[in-house]
Amino acid sequence: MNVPVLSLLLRRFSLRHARLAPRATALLVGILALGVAVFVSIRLANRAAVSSFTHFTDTLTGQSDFIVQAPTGTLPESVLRELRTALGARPVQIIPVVEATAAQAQRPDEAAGFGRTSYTLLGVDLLSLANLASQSKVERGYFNQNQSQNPGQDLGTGGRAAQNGDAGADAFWRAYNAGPQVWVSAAFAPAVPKSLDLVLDERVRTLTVAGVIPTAKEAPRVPPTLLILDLPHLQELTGKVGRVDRVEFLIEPGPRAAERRDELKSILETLGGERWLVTTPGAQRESAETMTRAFRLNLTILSLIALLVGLYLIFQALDGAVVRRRTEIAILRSLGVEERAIQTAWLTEAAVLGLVGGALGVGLGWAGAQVAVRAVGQTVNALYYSSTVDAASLDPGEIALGLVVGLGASLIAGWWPARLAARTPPAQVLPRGVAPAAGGRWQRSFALGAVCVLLGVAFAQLPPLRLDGAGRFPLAGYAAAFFWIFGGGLMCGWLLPLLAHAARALGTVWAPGRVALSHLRRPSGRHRLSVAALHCAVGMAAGMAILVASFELTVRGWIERSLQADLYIASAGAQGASTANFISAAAADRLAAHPAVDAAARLTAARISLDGIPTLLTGTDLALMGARSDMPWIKAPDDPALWETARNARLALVSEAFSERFRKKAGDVLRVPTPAGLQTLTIAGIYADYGNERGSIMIDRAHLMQWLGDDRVTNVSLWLKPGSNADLLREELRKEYPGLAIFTNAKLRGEVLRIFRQTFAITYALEVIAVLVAVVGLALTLTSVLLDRREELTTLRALGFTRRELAGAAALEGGVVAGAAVAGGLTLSVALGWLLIYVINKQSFGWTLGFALPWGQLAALAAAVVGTGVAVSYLVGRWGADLPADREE
Amino acid sequence: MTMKTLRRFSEVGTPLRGVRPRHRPRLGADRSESGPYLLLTFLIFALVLASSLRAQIPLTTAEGFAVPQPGKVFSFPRDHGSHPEFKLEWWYLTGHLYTEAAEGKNARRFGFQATFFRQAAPDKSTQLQLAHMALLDAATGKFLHQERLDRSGWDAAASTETLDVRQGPWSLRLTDPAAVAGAERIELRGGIQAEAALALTFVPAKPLVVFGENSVSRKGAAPTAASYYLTFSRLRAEGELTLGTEKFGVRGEAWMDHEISSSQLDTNQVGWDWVSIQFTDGRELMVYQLRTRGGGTDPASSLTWVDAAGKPGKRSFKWEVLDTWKSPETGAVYPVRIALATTDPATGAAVRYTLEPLARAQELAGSVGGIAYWEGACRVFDATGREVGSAYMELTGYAAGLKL
Amino acid sequence: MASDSAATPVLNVSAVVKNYGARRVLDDVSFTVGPGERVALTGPSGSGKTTLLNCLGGVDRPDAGSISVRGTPVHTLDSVALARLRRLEIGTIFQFFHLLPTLTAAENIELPLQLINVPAPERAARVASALDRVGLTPRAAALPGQLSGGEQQRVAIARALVHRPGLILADEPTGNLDSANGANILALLRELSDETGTALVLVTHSEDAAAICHRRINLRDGRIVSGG
Repeated sequence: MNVPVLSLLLRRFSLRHARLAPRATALLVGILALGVAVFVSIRLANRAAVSSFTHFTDTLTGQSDFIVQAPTGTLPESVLRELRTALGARPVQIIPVVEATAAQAQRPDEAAGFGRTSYTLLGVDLLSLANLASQSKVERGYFNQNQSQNPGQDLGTGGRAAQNGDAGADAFWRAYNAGPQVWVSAAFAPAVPKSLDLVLDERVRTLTVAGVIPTAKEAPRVPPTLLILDLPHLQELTGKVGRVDRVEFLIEPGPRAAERRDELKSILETLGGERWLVTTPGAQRESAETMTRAFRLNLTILSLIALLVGLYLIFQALDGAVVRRRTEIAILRSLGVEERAIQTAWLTEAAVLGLVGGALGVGLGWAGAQVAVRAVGQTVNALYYSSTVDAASLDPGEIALGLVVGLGASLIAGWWPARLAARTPPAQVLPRGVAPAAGGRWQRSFALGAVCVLLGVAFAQLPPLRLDGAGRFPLAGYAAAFFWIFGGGLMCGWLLPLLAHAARALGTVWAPGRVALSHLRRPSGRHRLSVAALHCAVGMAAGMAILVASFELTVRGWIERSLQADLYIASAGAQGASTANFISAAAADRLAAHPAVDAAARLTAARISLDGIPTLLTGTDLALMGARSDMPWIKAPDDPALWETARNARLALVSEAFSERFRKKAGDVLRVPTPAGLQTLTIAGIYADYGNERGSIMIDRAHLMQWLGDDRVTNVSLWLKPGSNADLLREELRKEYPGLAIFTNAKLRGEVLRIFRQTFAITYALEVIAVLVAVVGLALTLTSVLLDRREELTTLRALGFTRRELAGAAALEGGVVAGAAVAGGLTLSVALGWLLIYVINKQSFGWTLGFALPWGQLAALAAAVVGTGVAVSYLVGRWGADLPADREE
Repeated sequence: MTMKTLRRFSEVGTPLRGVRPRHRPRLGADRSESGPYLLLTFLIFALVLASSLRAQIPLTTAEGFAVPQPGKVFSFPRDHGSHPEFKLEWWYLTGHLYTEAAEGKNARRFGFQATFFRQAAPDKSTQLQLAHMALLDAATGKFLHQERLDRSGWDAAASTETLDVRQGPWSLRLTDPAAVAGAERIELRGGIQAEAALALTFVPAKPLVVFGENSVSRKGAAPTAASYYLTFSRLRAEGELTLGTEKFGVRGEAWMDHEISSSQLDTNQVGWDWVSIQFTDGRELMVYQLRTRGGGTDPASSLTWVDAAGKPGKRSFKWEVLDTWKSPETGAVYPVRIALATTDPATGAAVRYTLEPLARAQELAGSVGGIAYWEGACRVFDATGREVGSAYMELTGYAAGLKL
Repeated sequence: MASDSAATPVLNVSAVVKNYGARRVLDDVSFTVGPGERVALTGPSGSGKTTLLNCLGGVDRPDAGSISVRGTPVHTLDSVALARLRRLEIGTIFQFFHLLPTLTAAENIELPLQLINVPAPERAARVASALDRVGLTPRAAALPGQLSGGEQQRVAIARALVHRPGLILADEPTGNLDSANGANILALLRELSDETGTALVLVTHSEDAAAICHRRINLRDGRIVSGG
């Protein structure tokens, strides 16, 4: 490679052109940056959401070596003594933990609803926490925080020291013996509240804030939603006296750590038998990752659309530049610059563009991630587990990835134009006046498009890829989508002459129309590319709209069938998929016994792990359900025994998502671990449940209570006696139970739909960005096309075309391109909608949906795209009309 | 002596007159300036009680804790166990261990300390336990130590039936509670994180000594200022010691105190020095001096010989500092090399013993309990320079405060 | 045909000055062109011919002086009025033909008629006759790319004349043609100019081209050195 020549080319030509057309260069960089930004922000947001699966204890203890947990429910405290005895003198710290969630209490004037701050309450023995090596750097203990009022600093005053000391000791014992109190994250500082009103189960508790969670300086930041309590207090508050949620183990530092860890593991496993599961924080984090993998992959792929559209545009812009600078290249060639140098120079130009765009994109993506992270976090909260994410952070790896994506995209897009540039003949043999059509012949191949579409059809038939931990990824589905987008893009170009032909009458009455349509009769590669890019964006956006509309239609139907009681009652502490708040059995009984209540169904949900995969075990009054509720069946049960408590102990219903995840059909047998031992259940039927992606098993509550040894209730549904007013009863109950969230039927339906829409907010945002990029791309295409047609513009002006007429011609041209893209995109969207609903969604989440076309939204999208296309093109046309005649020619 | 030192000392606890003073757990996990007040509470009670001197010994303190009563008849193994009706209690083991001399290798020597404290909350709602473990490798001077603080419960407990004290992975217990006096076997399991492990068994070489008059060891003028003080002045130790990845079979001798009281403090004292010597001739010596404000020594300071049959007898003494060591961690200056001048009760002759620490750095910096003190293994030489025994020396009230 | 500088000249150029930066490209250029008159603008490269032509067509604006086409002052018009003047009164012929590559020969010719809203039937007739006149009826549906240079220039001439402007501005119309084709084009231009009475301003280097004109204006360094 001739470096001086390359450097000359870059400095004298590439750089100079970029400087001469700063806005075009900036636009190009901007588009690339936007594409990279969307990708980076979704990636960061995803990562933050995953890492936000905080193993909360880590912030206090450093990472535990092992965690012992019951297969479902809690462990009795007696296992602690048993564990210590089994471990003997082995230097191991045993840390029992109770974890709970609580929501901030709603103010009296606040309507019931989800979305209030949800806290994670962690109960550990705060006294013995000091024994951990990791705590030795902490300056201030838990029970010595409120002594700033009588500090020990003034002890120089002789005998008074004693009195001060007395007050200090009193403060210690007061703090130590005080009732339930919480320590909060330093994130509250300096406005640490005196107390917090929290909803725990059905009660509102006002908990004194004892102080700030003490941490060493270099310790991980304490999440702001973490509250620490002394173990016995949280046990008492959550009704878990004598029980713990899990036990964590830390081996003491010293030699033979690996050996001691293995030994510990084997002791824990041997001792536990079926009573508990031994895991590690790493494994738990991994399972959180697995759980959300499909969701995150889907988002990542959506985030790549903007980049894909951007890729089209960069290709287009570089290609246009090659065409415009053809003379220059030809002259250089005639001066003896070799093909390779020219190709390298163009690729380098693309690479620089890619790096600059990538760098900007990383910054922009980071900013976007701060917004996206909230949306992703909400979805994760709603569907999977409690995440405490509030900020997404960049690391060198992510920065590098962003740059590589930007660079890669620009190199891919720049490859063809660079080749085209290199193949420019020397000036002597350059034919004048005829601009080469951009793009390769394949771009004009209808057949290739058709083949792609057919390939897509074939891929759509394939099953999903199975990931670890029952995750499924519809790889073939995405491949089908890709082929349809690509093939559709190719075929879409053929819509241009068709539309031009259809509109030919316009050409006879309006001269600018004739000019514009004449360009579309034999569309250039540039036009085709623009159509393809816009088609892709419109198709994806409309496809997503179809998916959401179909989903919503289905969910509405499901709600109408499954929500038939008059009032729904849960603890106001319940804020998402992961929160576990209960109503005490006594309170549930009191609710059921209210004179206005005709019937009450209690439901209890317990998290369980089946073959290491988390799912839900729910218990409800099946007899009542059979009589009162219209279950949305996927496969209705045949066995009438299901509805009789006396006969249904070995029967279960499972949700469709469960059936998909665990590949179980009706008639299959489940082996479910419970505190009462392994239970064998036969699947009697499958019902639709769009509220829970992890799937659930439903059994009769009578049996579940027995197995769990726990009579608490997750929620209660009330059917009222005829003539009772649900709203009045709700008001009455709310006054009586301020800790309960009570929804009327209508309100709950609204709430479910709201959460549902919230889950899709981020996907919408991604689609809108893609459409915006594509519209900007249309403007870029026209700019480029007009620059190519300077001669023609001169001629038209010489012929007497006014600026408005020239702009009109451009508007029509852009409008037809947008129209073709919308026509193709809408067709694509129906196909993608079908694919998303029947293949991708079904494969990733296991939900059967109906198909609905949101006509209004699609029409609005079409109108918006065509309208924006026309408007943008008109503006570009006006700009083009003022282009000075090309003096070079 | 600064006021700060005074305060530090007060945290540690005021010496118990007449018997060996011991520091007590300071409650609370922090080591901040403001942390140590808990034990000063007792100081106040002491003042109150001292001001209302009465000849009669009350059954309980103002808080309602039991007070040691004269004529107490101890019954074992019950009285080796815990007495939660008293406010404070501790089991305190120190000793010297040796490996077998292998061919071509000298025997290795170690010093160890294992302490379990129990303390009741003022309202008796809770018991807290604090434990210390320390190990000195005399050959390398490597000194390891660790502290634990727990509330009594599943991971910390002291039996009221027999000697059975546990805290985390550490434990001290009688292997056979039914064994007759003199035939007890005491087992200690513990270690320092995973750096060292101790698995030792102790058998009394001499009968249990009950210090004090009529079962009660008086600690001061206040009627409640008393304790029950039970000591095995010579235990034969045997067992296994792990240091890093090395395992040693060890034998040696240990000293064990068990003391029960309900708090008695004196504001005038700033610290104490305590020494236990086990002579090669089968006798023991225990001495403590209480340092008062202004650099004096409390008259309650005393020296007690235990003869070969286990009978105690007091003698006067003189304590001379030969050399000091400054702790790099706390900045405290400890008199780690001393000389003791007293009278040998067997011969009536004046004797002078020099205590040489096996290592100077034997400070427990108080990472959990917050009290820094020096507790170290020493060799004992007579005036002619002949090695006549081994000792453990405790130096408290020297740390001005912790460097944080 | 003899020049007839009657009452209203088709083109009146008076004291036109044009500077590009410090360089004076046109200096006090004045001349008139009468109806049907053909004037050749000659001069060496850089003498200001093309600049003058651009000013005449309203593509460029003179810094001083005035230009009027059929009495309408070109230099004061706004862009819309200028465009209207061009579509009504001026036909332009370029050295490189400048046909719209995406329109057929017939459509290229039809375009100026569309711009002045000639009804479709009349347009068709006029395009047909124009094609016939330039001898390209059989190539009506051909795209410019399918036409030879001479054919393209004939389409351009037809396009320049189809809306019957008073003035045709031609910039080296034979510059890109071989001599045989060039001669044909010049003959065609002369005939059509005579037939329609359209004035022609012809920028050229070529003696052959200048020969079809009634008059020759010779420019040098932006000044008329002869024929003004």
